[in-house]
Amino acid sequence: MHKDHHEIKDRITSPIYTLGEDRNRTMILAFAVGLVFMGIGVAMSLPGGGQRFAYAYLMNFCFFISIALGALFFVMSQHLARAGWSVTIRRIAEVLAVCVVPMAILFIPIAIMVGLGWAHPFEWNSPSWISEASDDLKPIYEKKSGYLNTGFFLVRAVVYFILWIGTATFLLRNSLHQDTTKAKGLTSRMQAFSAPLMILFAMSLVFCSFDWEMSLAPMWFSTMFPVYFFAGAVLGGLATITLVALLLQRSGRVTDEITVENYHDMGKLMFGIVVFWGYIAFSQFMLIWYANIPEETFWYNIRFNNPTWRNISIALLFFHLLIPLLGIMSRTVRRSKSFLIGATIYLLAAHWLDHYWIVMPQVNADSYNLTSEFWFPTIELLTFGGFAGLFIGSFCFIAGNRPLVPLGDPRLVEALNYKNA
Amino acid sequence: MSNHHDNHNEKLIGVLAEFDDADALLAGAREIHAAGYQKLDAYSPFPIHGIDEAIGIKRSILPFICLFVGIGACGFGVFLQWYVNAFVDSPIFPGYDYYISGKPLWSLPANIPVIFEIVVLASAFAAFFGMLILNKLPQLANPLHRIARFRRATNDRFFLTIDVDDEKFDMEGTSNDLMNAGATEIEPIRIDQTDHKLPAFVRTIGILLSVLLLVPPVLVFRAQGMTNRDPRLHVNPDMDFQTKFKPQTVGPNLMAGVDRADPRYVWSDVRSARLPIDGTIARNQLEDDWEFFHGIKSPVNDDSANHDAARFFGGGVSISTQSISNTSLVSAQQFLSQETEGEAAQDVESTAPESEAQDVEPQEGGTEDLPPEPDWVTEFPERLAINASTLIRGRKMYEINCVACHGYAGDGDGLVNKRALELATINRNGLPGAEWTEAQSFHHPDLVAQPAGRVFDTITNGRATMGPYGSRIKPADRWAIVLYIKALQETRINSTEKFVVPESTPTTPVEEESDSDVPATDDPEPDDAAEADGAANAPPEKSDDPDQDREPEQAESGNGGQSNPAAVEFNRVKDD
Repeated sequence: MHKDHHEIKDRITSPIYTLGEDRNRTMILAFAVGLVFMGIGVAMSLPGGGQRFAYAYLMNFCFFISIALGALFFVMSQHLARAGWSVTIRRIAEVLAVCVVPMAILFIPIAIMVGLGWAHPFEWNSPSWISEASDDLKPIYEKKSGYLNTGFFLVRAVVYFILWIGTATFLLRNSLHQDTTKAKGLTSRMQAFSAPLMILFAMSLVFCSFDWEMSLAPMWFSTMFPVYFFAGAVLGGLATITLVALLLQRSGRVTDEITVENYHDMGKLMFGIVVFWGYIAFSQFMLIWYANIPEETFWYNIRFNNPTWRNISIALLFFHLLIPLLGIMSRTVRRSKSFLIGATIYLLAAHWLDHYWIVMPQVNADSYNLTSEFWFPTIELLTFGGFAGLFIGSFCFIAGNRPLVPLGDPRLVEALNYKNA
Repeated sequence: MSNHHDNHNEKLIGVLAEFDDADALLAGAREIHAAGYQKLDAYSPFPIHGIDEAIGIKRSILPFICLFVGIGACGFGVFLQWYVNAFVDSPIFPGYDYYISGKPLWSLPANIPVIFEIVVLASAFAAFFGMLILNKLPQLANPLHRIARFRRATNDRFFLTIDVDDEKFDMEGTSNDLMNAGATEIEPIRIDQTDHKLPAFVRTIGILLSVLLLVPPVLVFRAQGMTNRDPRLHVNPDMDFQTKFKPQTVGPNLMAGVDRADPRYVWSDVRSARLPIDGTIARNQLEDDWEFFHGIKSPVNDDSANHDAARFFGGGVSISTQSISNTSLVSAQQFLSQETEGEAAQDVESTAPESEAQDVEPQEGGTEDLPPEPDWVTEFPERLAINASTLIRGRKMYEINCVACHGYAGDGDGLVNKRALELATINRNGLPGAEWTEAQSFHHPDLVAQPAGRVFDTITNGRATMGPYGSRIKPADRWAIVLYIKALQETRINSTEKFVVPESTPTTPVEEESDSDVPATDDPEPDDAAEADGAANAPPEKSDDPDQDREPEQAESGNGGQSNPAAVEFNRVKDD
């Protein structure tokens, strides 16, 4: 017997498995940078009435909330599947999921905009929305306003955040509790709660995608849109989890626990979701394109008949589907840490472009000529910088000095010794 | 050991070593591989992690096979659809240029689902069959199965084999190496080399059958360019000729050999069912206002139920009860006589003049061949509210139902009509084109002269190629369409004297879903109101709605009337 070849690893061996001393410095720096960028973004768009900033803020808000929700989905799905392989990487996802709390705070500006009845970004929020409608369509506008109205919009947002914050903190708190108690019952508890919470999560995701992105074109119909939003969210979540793990390891943390085998699997999931996203995006497009009904085509009409948006639509096809499809298909790529850093940043950029493409064409959607200014997303990128700083700072704040690996999970040993076939 | 060894027909192909457990196999395999052996294989009841590296198996090339088959299938899917649908000018086997759902012949979004499916199918096949081929499967017999102890490989024993082709192979030395690496038993693997060739006659029959299998495709191929005047074969006559009647017919699909006098099949007057009792009115069919429901001034004999029956049988419009019964009877008998070859011809001749002699007034323009025209109404019925909202309603219904053939401006230049004319002129492969009666331009003087009731009747019952729309459009909407058509015609006559749309007429609305609840005078939608008011004076212009893909040329032809032959003809007639 040659035991040396397969020794079983049964405990954490990394010298550092928390954020450690750098945490406070990074957090303060990130918050500062975030606020500065956000401030520049506001300042730059003020001469134009702040309208573009309102859209840019909503767009980046949707981008970052989709990452947090993708991470939340990842944690719940791993519990539901009783996954062993992902235990070592799950804590990062748990912390990312709790970032729905700062996202709830960052929702307040949107709530204020809607609450004060500003017409942008949401057209339906204007009092003249129904009165300016043509008589043929008025009954539909009136029916829609039963759902799309200021009060109900805010109530729904509160419900979403209560649900998400409750779920995310429940999962993180139990997982942290398990670090010290090593109680196996906590794992069963999280698994049992994940099932009903997943159903509620799915429903909330559907309606939040209706509320925050689809209702920018309130008369548009697409039942495929929530699935599209979900596919993007999961991709963003997976890419962020992987990127955070890679960066933590690069800075000398959790070096032994998260292995190439984990990255290989995350790569597989990202690859699958890229294909899923393409499938859903195309399904949504083709059904509308084929039926060719004006009530539905106008949404794509803006995105394909305006030169700026047409270029971005085609770029999305390549950058969000075809290039990553071939790019992360190879096993070699998925098992290379240095390559994966590039791949995850790339995927996040593509995901960001996706949200840009969803939201920004709705600015002055009625007058095509104004949209040519969107060939370069200056204010959107500044706002992105703002959100990114605040998001990273929040991540550091939540992670604190807590272990970045679930120390007490009963499947930890399985994960530490996990190997792809 | 078994007695196989004595057979001189056997050949050594390798050596089999047995191990006690998975760890021993793994360790032994590593040791043997480290010793320089390359051609190893391992057998175990369950997968062992790390065994691939231990025996030095390289990663399978199967993923790459899948990848390249998938890429090839993608190209094939693109080519297939381009060739089948878009390569119309091919010298041999030209594609079918079917326009589907108004999409171009070559339209990538529509092709992607098919490409996707082909890629998935081909990749799955590549993975499955590639796996079989790479594993040298299916294999009818494996020499390992001749070794008794190997049977436990699926149960509780672990084996390692070394191929005889291995450079380091040498029966004794290799056996020693294996024992040193932890093997418990060593056994040589031998293959039986007795001739297993198929008998010659099996091969002959196989070749013959393969050749015969080519005959049906050859026949199909040959039949492709042939014409055949024989009736088609009825594989299942029970389905094609059912012994049943359709309502109010003589049962034209009676099977040959059925006794037509059989009372079970035909009534004495050859109808398949009894006529409704005189005065029967089906539910929701009380159409007592003849002007409104039929476009005819009060008939001599008001019998709406039989009026419909007359349409069904007679084609022309006959009104009196007497003539209806006769006409329908005549048609029925004519039909029967075609089948019985003149059997009932006498009766037809005797009854036919009787029906024509009935009390229908002859129309001025009626020719000898056509049935006499009824007394069409020339004014709109009183029940119809003639105002802007009726006109808007008419335009809406016109655009839903009529535009496809007659065009937006009524020039007869609708897309369906254009395409049908195109098909009718195509003469491909020596076959004649389809038959099509051109959709009429409403601006032709004959049509302009038609009374409103006649237009209404055409919409209701169809004419020539045009099908009946009576069942699809409610009477009030049909009248609204007539109103809109009359307005369209008025735009070309350039006269506002004959036909004036009153701004607002305080009449009761005639039907529920129309826009009549909107007051016509202060219509809050400026576009529609303006267009509706202008419709009497100007042709309908391209809608402001950017989402509606109308062809700009239609608006132009509405203005100038030059782009379409019918309109040109009309101008010439006017000049004369």
